[in-house]
Amino acid sequence: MNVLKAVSMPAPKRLRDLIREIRSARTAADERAVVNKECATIRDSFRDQDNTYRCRNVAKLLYIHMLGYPAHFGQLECMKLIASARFTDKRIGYLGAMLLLDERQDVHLLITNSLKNDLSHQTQYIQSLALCTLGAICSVEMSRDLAGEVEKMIKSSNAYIKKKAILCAFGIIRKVPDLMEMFIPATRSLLNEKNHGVLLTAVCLITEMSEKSPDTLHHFRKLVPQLVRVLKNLIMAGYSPEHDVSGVSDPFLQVKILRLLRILGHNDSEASETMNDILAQVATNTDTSKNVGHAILYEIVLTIMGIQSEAGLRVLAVNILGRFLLNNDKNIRYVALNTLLRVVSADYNAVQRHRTTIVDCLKDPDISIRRRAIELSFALINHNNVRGMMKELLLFLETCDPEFKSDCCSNIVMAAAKYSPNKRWHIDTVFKVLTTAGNYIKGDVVTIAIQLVSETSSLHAYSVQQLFRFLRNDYTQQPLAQVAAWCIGEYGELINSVNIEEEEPLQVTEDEVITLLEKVLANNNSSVVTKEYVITALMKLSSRLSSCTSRLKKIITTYGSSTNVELQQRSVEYTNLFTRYDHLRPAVLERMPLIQAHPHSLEDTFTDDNEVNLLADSVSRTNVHNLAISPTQPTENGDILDIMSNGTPAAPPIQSNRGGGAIDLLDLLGDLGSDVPPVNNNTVLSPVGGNNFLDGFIQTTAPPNNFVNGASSLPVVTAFNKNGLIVEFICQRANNDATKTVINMKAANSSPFPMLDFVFQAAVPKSFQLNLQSPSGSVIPPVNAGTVTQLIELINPQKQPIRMRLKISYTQNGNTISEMGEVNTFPPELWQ
Amino acid sequence: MIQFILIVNKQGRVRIRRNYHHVEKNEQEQRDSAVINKCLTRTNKQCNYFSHEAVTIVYKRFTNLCLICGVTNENELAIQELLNVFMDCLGSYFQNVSELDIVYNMERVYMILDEIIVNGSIAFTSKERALIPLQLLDAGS
Repeated sequence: MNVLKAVSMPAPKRLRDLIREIRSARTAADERAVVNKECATIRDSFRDQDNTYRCRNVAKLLYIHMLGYPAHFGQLECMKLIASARFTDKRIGYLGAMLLLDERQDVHLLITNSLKNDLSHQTQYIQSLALCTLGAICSVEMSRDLAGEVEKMIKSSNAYIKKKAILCAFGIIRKVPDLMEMFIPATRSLLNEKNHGVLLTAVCLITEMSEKSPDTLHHFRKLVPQLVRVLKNLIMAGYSPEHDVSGVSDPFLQVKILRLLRILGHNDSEASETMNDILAQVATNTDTSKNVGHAILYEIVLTIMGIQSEAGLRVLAVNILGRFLLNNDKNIRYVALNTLLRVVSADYNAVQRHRTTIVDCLKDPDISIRRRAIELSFALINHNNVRGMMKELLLFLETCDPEFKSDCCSNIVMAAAKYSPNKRWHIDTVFKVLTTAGNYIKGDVVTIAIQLVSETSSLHAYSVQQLFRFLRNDYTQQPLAQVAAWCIGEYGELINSVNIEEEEPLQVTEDEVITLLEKVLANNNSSVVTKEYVITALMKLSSRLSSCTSRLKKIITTYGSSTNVELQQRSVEYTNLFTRYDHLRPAVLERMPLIQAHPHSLEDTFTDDNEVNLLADSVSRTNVHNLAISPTQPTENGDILDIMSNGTPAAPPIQSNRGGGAIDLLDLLGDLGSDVPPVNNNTVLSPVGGNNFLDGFIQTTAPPNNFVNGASSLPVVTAFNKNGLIVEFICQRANNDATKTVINMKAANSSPFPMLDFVFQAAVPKSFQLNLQSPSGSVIPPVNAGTVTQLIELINPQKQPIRMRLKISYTQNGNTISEMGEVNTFPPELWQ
Repeated sequence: MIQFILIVNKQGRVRIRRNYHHVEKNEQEQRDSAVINKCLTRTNKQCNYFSHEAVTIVYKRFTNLCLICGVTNENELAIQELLNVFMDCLGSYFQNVSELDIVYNMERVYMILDEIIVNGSIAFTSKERALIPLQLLDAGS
């Protein structure tokens, strides 16, 4: 029967024939067909339990697996191969096990027994096979079972086995860190070996153990002198052909020992001292003509930086890095830049010396080198070199890849802000960034630029003229157009002034200015945000430039029918300002006050809680616009409103801009604190309703109303009652947001004397967010003749009981009175 | 630690692949094709290392082969030397190694590799010692 069988089935293909067949397949489909056929044959053959050719079949299976086809049906066969007695079988079996199995398969547990037997086999090569496989695919259980065996083998006298056993232990420890203690005693004596292989692997093991557990680290610190001795012998020993790589004796061992020294010497001054000499010696003795030498030097530099070395050694290290930078080989430059980046914070001065080389690397053809060079350059800017560095960086900005550009711009602007020698240079740099980087700038740079210009009042005329020139050249870059439009709008009258230092005055007519802005507006490439800026700028110009009111009016009115709601709203409101409220126009369009500086943050934090649908609201709601302000900051907003409330009613309601990132356009009046959290939303009106609203306003004598949706439905909380001052809270939960409470604060004065300069401030526990809007006024007339109201918004995300502390100050009869109070009596419905 | 080693030919076909750290099959395929793509499209002017998803890739191009090695936390220059040593070993065993040699003698290449790198760490870099088991194997079979 068996004879028949052997005859009927031909011997399976040899591996090389299979390979030849696969390679000759023309298309992928052909190849798949060949592979599938072969897999079927192999599967049949496995089923038939054919011993002789199993090894060949599994070899073919491994090849197929490497090509990417599934080969899991071979796993059991690998097992059988491992159990066989022949070396070739075992070899292929273990190779298959390493490639096909891992600890997630169940089959691999079955190997444990075979492994155990093979670990105690006589032939060292079989033992080594087993060790290799064990280290590669061990699981937790297997490790625990076989760790004892491995440890015994570490102590064996055969260097070959020792090596492999050590690395197997390395794998086991990685898997099961607890078993580390078992191997520690064995390793101590390993360093006395002469065999380089054993030394290398032992060092490897010790490194791994030290990294894993600080106790072992401490334990191995005592080995430092021994390691130093080994290293010394290594360099001093003559030429040894076995371990020589391009003239350096066993560089791998040197590198490994250096790394272990680094780990042991980290944060330990005693160990570091012992190492100092040897480090210096190796550094000076290494031959750097080949890459090998560089590899060793690199490791030395890393070690010097990692331990507590003396200053001279550190300087040596940085000098080595400097030499690397000058090397022609790009690999070495890359490595040097990488390391310098890590070192620059610690050894700033030493790195400064190599600044010019680093800046040269900005022009390297390799992008990863350029990336590191730019990071380093930013770290190296200081007051002395800022001019030169900026020049180089701006040059780089012009030619660099888009992915760098936005980060680069932000960094340049920040660096300019920190180190600029004078204002004029600072403004010039920021303008250069705007013109060079085009549309890649992030939104906050626009904010910063505008803030900068408005701060430097001496250079207003210069700024506006430069920006006009730039805009004339090129109005397609959005951030530039935005900044330029804003400046021209704000300082338009200075555009022809003559007293600019060092620059020829610009001679343009007002018509030219308006034409330019009109072109920007009409351009299809301008984003909506830019157009919004331009419309507002044109509006402002109507009060700055005297001669072109009619033309401006015409332009603005055309956008009254624009399809974009933002533009339409602005246009209609401004048109209204022209027609019905012309007498208000100059006051409304006055110069903006100084913008408050705020920390640069790159996220915008607008919340949309109160966003009201534009067209769908009733006219009775009349929230006066505002920006949210934290209770402790004094606001210019409040001041301006005070001016307004004395004479004229509020300005036309303004929309807050939701176009992420750009500045809030509200600012006919106010605060450009666009990064300050929640901008509150405002009105509301459909264009038709506008007239009624404004009418309503003018007729009331009381200051603008601040009331909340509908009537309040909760009892009034008396927050404060002293000396005739009564402060009441009318609270209501916001309709559309369960965590928000809106409180209407009313302050009344029942004493016979008026209270002037009334300021109300509030503080809440940390989990809350508080928004205080502008008060209606600062004077409370006596004997309850009138009130001051203020709208307070409280956001309570964690639904905690509301508590609030008050601070009130006012002047009465010439005395400044300051009061504090606390309110705990908020009705619980507000937060539950 | 060495995460993986690949030998690919100029067209990007994998000839030898060794993982020292377990990865799922499709992850591995994705990673391989991404890395191979990047390696083969780099010019001579660019340096021999780059990083790919938290792993530093060191590669070395020979006439029609490319040795790619993914490492974490190791000296890149030393790894380059290691690739050199490996190639030397193959060269001295096969006498002027070519791609076909590697293809047809896959299991021997793996054996050499296992002598030099074990479990992600460099074990032994002496050419003669690495080739001993192979010589035994050849003598026996």
